[in-house]
Amino acid sequence: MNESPSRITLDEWDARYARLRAGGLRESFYGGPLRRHADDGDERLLRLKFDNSAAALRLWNLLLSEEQRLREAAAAGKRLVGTMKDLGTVPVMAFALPNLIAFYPDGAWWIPCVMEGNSRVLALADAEGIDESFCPVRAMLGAFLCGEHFPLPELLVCSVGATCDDMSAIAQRLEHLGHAVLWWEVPHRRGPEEGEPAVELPGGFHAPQTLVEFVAAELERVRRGIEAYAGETLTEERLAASIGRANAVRGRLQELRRLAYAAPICPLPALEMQIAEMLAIHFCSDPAETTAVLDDLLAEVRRRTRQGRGVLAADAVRVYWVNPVADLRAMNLLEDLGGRVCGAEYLISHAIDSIPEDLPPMEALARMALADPMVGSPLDRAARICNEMAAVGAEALVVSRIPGASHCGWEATIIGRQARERLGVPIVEIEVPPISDALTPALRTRLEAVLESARQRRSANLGRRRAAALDEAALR
Amino acid sequence: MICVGYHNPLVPPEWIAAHGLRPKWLWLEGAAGGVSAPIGRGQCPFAASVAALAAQGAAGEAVIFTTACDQMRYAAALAGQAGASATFLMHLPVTWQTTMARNLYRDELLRLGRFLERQGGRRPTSDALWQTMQRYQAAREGLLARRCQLSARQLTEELAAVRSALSESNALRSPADASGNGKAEGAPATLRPRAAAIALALVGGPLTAAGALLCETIEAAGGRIALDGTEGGERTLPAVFADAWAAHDPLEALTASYFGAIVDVWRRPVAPLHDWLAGEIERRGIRGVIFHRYLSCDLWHGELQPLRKRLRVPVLDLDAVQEDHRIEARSIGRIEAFLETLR
Repeated sequence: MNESPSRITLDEWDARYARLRAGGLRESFYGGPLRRHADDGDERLLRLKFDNSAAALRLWNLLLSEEQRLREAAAAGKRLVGTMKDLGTVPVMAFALPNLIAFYPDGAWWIPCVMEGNSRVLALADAEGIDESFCPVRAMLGAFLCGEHFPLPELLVCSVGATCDDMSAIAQRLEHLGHAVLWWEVPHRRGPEEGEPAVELPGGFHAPQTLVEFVAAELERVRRGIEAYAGETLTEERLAASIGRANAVRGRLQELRRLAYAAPICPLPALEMQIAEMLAIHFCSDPAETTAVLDDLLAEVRRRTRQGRGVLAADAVRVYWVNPVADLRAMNLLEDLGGRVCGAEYLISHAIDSIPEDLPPMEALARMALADPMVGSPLDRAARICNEMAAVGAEALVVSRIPGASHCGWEATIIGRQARERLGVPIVEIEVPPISDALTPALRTRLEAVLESARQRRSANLGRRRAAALDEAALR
Repeated sequence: MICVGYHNPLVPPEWIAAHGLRPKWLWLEGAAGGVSAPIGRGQCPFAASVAALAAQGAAGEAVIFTTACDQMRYAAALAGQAGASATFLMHLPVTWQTTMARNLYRDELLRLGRFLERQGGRRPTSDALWQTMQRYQAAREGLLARRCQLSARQLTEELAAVRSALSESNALRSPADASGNGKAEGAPATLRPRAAAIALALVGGPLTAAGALLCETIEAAGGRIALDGTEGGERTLPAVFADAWAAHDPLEALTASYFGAIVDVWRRPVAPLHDWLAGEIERRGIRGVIFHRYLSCDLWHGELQPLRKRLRVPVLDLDAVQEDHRIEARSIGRIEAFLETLR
C-alpha cells in the first residue's frame, strides 16, 4: 500500500484505488473511488493531478461527498444553517447544537470549476444580471436558483461590514429572492488609539476592546437567531465545547502547515493542502470526520517527512501563495513548472488560528472574527504575509487575483510592494478564472518567469555565500 | 484654514466645520484638480482618483475615507502609505436596524473628532456645533428651494458646495470653472431645463468630473434630471434636524439625520434605498432612470436588476469603464436613444 509519494491522474487513481482495496483499505461511510465523482459530473477531476495517498483519497471523498451528506442530514431531520462570508465564526456556534449543521453556500464558487460545463450556476447568475464582472462567488446565486447543489438552508446568516462587496451584493440578491438573511456586522479592524484599551487577536493583530465588545454583541444577535431556529439553548458550556472541537481541527491544520510547508522535500501537493486548509471554515459539514481526515494527512506527512520523501523535486522553488484559486488546476500548474507552495494565505488565516479558550466564548469568537485578514487594513494583511514568508523562507510570491473580486484590484500593489521592500523576492500577479484552460499559456509564462527569477536569485545568493565562505577561510 | 477632504455623504461637513476646519467635498477634483489617476484593471476610477489626490496632497491636509466599499478601504491604505495627507478611515456600519449600529456610527464621529483635533481642530461646544449645523441646514434648505430653477449641472455643483465650507457655497464657481473644461462662464442656454423635457432620475454612486458633463448630455438630449440619486445628489442629503432636541444633543441629532436617514446601496438590508427611489420617482413624475455605475462597482451593479423589477419606469444601464472629463460617444448615443424611446 505504501507506494512512493507522487502526483497521479484520475486514471492512475483507478488502479491505485484497486491496489489499496486489495491491500485492505478501510474507508469511511463516504468512501469510494474518485472516479465516481467524475462520473457524477465533477469533470474537472479528469484534468487534475492528485496526491496518491489513502489520506488524500479520504480528503477528496470528504470534500466531494458534501452535497450528498447534507441532503442525507436534512432528510434525517437535521436543520441546516447557511453561513456566509465570515469564514469560520458562525459554524462554531451552529455546530454547538446537535441538531444543526452549518455550511457555506459561498463554497459554491468552486462548482463551475469542479463540474466544468455540467453546472448551470453561472448561466443562472448571468440571467439575473450577476455576470462575470463579479467574483466566482456569484455561483452561489445560481446554486440557490437551481437548488441542485445543496439543500437550501432555512436560516441564512451573513457577516457584513468591512468585507467583500461581491459577497455583500450577492447575499443581498438572495434576500431579494425571498431568502431572509440575518445580517451581522464585523466593523473594520482598526488600530487602537493612544491610551485606548486594546486586546491581541488570534494571529497577532490588535484591536480596541470596544470593537471586540461590539462584535460580541452582534454575535449575541446571531446566537438568538440560531437558538430560535434550533429550538434549543446555545449555552456557554456548549459553545465552549464547540470552540474546543474547532481548535482540535485548527491545531491539526497548524501542525500540517508547519510540517508540510517547512519540509525540505514537499510531502503533500499544494492542491491537497489548499483543500485541507479550507476544511477549517465549516469542517466540510462534519467536524468529526474533518478531524479524522486531518489525522490521516498528518500521519502521512509525518511518515514522508521522516523518510525524506515527497511529491516534488528537492530543489523546487519555494513559493508563497496569496488567495484561493477558482480553478484548482492552477495549483497543479505551479508544481508542474518546478514550484512548490511553502506557505499560503487563502483569506482564512483567522479560521486556522486557535480560538482563545480562556475567555468567555462569545468574546473569544468576536476576537476571532476581528482577526479576519479581510476586515483590517490590507497593510496589516501584507505584514502578516511577509512575516510568514520570512519564516518559511519563501523565494517568490504569487498573488492570485480572483477575477471580478472588488478587493483584488489593489492587492498586488499593496502586498507586492511590502514583500518587495522587506524581502526582495520576485512577485507575480496572476488571475485564475474558474476554468483557466484557455489562459494556461499566459499563466504558464507568468509563473515560469517568477520561478526563473527566484532560481537566479537563489544562484546569486548561493554564489555570494560561497564567496563569503572562501573569504572567511582565507582570513583564517 | 486646514482643509479636510472627504468623499462620503455620511461624513457630516458640519462636524468638520465645527472643529474649525474647512470641509472639502471631493467629487469634481479628479479632472478639475489636474490630477490624473492611473486606473488599474478592476479598480474603481473614483476611488483611484481620491487615492491619487490624497497621495499627492491635493485633497487637503487631511482626507477622510470610509469603509463603505472595498475599493475605498484599499484607497485609504494606499493614501496612508503615501503620507502626503493625514488620512482617517471611518467605519460606516452596514447594518442599520440596531441601536448598536447607530451607536457605533456616533462613536466613529467622536473618533473622527479626535482625529480632527490632532490636525489642529478644536473640540466644539454643543452650542457651536448646533449653530454650525443650523447654518448648513439653512444652506441645504435654500438650495432645495431653488432647485427647480437650476440646471442639473448647477444643482450638482451647488450640492457639492453645501457639502464643503459654506463660504464657498455663497460664491459659487461657474460651471466652466468648476469642471475645468474651458467653456465660457455661465451655463449655455441650451442646457437650461426645458418645460417639455422628459423627467428623469440619475441614480448611482459617486460621479467624477464627467458627472457634470453627463448632466449636460442628458439635458441636451431632451431630458431633465428631476431627481439626482447619485452619491453626491439629493439622495444623500441628511434629514432635517429636529430642533426640539437637536440643540440639547446636537451630536445625537447629527447621528439621527445622517446615519438614520441617508439611504445607500451598501447598507444591509438595502430595502430603504429601493423604497426611497420608488417613492421619489412616483412623487416627481419621473419617466425613466439613468443608472450610472462603474464597471468595477459590484454594489451598484448588484442592485440594477432588482431596481429594474421594482421601479415602474424604464431603466438605462450606463456602465462607465473609466471616468474622466469626457463622455464616451457610446454613452451619448445610448442616452439619446433612451430618451427617444420615452417620447
